[in-house]
Amino acid sequence: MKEPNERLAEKIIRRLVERELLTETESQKIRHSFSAGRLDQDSWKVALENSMEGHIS
Amino acid sequence: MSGTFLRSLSLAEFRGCVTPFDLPFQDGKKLTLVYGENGAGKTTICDALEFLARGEVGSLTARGLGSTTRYWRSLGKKATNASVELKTSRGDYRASLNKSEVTWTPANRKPRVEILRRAQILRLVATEAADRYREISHFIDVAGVEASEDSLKKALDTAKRDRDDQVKRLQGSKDTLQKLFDEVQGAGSDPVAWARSEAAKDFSTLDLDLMALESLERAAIVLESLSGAWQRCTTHCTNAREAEIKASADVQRVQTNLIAGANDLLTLLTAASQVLQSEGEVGTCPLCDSSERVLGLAERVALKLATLSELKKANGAHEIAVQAHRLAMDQVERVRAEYAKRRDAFRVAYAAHEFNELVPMPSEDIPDELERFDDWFESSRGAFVEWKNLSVSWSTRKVASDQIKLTLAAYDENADGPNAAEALISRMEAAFAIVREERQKFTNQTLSDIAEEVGRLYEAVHPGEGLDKIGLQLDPKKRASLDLRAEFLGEQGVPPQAYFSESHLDTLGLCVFLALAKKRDPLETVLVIDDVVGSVDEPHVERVIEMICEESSHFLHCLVTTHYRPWREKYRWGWLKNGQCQFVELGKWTSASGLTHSHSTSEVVRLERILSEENPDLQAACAKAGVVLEAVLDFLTQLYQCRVPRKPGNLLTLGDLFLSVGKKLRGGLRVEVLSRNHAGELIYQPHGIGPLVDALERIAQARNVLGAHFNRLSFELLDADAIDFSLKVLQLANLVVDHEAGWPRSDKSGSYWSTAGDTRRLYPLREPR
Repeated sequence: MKEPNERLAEKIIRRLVERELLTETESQKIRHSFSAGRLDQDSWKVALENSMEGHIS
Repeated sequence: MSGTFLRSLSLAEFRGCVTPFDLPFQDGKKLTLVYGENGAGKTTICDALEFLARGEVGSLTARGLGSTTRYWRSLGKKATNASVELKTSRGDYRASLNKSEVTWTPANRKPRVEILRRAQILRLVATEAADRYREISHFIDVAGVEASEDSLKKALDTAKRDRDDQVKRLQGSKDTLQKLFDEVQGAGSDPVAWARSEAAKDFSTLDLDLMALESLERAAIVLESLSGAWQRCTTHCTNAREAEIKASADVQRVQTNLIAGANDLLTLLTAASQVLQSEGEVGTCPLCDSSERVLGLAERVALKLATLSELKKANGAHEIAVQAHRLAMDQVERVRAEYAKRRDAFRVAYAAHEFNELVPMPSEDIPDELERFDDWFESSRGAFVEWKNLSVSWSTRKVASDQIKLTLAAYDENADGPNAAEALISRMEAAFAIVREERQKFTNQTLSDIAEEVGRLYEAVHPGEGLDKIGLQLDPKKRASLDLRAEFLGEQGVPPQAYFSESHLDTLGLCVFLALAKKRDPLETVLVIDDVVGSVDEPHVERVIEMICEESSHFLHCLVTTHYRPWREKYRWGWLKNGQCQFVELGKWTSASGLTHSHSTSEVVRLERILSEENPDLQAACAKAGVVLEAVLDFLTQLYQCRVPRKPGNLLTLGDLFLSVGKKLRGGLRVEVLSRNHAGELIYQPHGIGPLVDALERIAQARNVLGAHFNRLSFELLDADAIDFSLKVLQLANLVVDHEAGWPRSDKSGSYWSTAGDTRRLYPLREPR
């Protein structure tokens, strides 16, 4: 069974993708570091910006 | 490990196992109940599973022993021979003690074991909130997600600051454009639109004009420095010439008063004086070698030179005047040459560009001759002043244009910034809201699930006291702090430690433990409960036992140790509601034999064994059959709530019980037994019970005559009657009781009583009226 961090991270990422705040590609990139607590400011920004462009284009 | 089952647990030279101990697990039994008196070795078995799973022996901790490794081996045995092995259908686990090191075979392959001991049970309940959090943190600690959430919040704050900076920069560009617009009173009302039109204008011609004009202006400024130079140097030259003439006249005038050839004499005497001064007193004249009048010659020469000093001075002044005149003439030539160079440069600058009509030009070309330059320069001065004005004006326009372009570029660069930043901030805020919401929901839901499960389990033991009445809450003011709350006498949210009895707290601790264990891979987990049931008070212990039996089905396996004797009796009589478990009874521990065990046998099976002997002991058979018959009739009268005589101590005889099972009930009593037909299909085989009860009632005296007392009447009784009685009791018991599934106690079907797994269906549901 997965650890709470991993289960929660999966849930959150699924919602972010559903809300089109993250693309599938970006969600895959941040999944691990997100649950491990290593997703820093810049990585968040890049993921959300890239996803913004992805959804707009 | 789903679908996995345990095969056996083997201990060697570990704790109380001074001899090898093997505990085989029965197929299909997920609950193993280990019964033993104190000191029989129950905890050793639990220690073995903990040792295998974690390399620890928890029963020895907190006993003031320090490091306990040295106590893990059996006394008198080597520390290198202690081992525990668990065989399962999916593979084996083995842990060995090598002095103080634990090694696993295969390497680091460990089973999942959750163990609850008597000493630990209160830790989950009667402990500080922070300690409780540590016990539960494994299920709710999402520090990783929280750290990433913090990063997102910081990213959001940074993005907002960046957005504010961009807004400020944009406003700065707007203000600058407005200022430029106001300064020149630009067309229209929109400074940005004005700036855009200004920036679009082609200033390349102006640039060229300005460059050429500035070049021409520089050439004119250079020429200006020559203005008056001609006058100055020609005047100087004239003066020098006149000084020379005058000096020459002075020489003529001095010579007039002297002898002819005075100049030559002056030269001769000057040379003689130098010779005489250098040689001192001479014997002969250096000119004629005559010694005549040589004495005083130097003095006489000096005296003669003195008479020629005026001539010498006039000659010197003349020489200087000649030199000055020459220099003045050279200067005139240099000025003339410099003029020619600057004039040509001016002409080049003038010819290099076609100036527009706004630029005034000198009325005539710059003269070739320096002598005419001053007049030309004066006549052109107005044009030169206008060049300067135009140059300043055009430079100002150019600077303004450049500033407009730069400001507009900055404006354009920042124009989209705030909008893009706003879009990103909006997405960051939405993402942050989701992360925070989900994290809070996750934690609350997990705690709520655990609390609900604790409540459900607690309700099973203490009906009416558990559901919706147990709560787990994180203390928002403290990190890693968990409050446990319960309802007591209608008051919500009280700490159970403050009001619950010790027995209730024990039950609550057990429920918390079970709820937590169920949260994490129960089908992968071997649950071990070490002798905690005995701490629960008598009225609730049966429910605790039933609850453990029921919950054991959720785990890979459940091993419960107990010294609670009624549990063993319940097993022997098949009274466990959720089916029979594997019952292991530990024998008395001795230093020679160590741990020993036997499997407990139910009373029905014991009767069966007596009857299966070649020459059964009739007294033992009738005695055992009588007890079993009492149990069956007692069960039926309770199930159907039959009337029984009220007696001191509720001691009912077989006669009392037979009377209670009335004719109507006997007429309706029947059992359907789940069995396989010849084709191997599961079917329910019907059997009437009433006639069997009738028959037993008729021959029941066999129990008292043969089985209960020394009685001369027994001498008259045939052996066959005793066997017949015993066999009929066995038949009745086997129809009503399933050795594996127990007694039919469930009325959930609504039409019959059933055993666990529906292996027996007992009709009717209610006593016919």
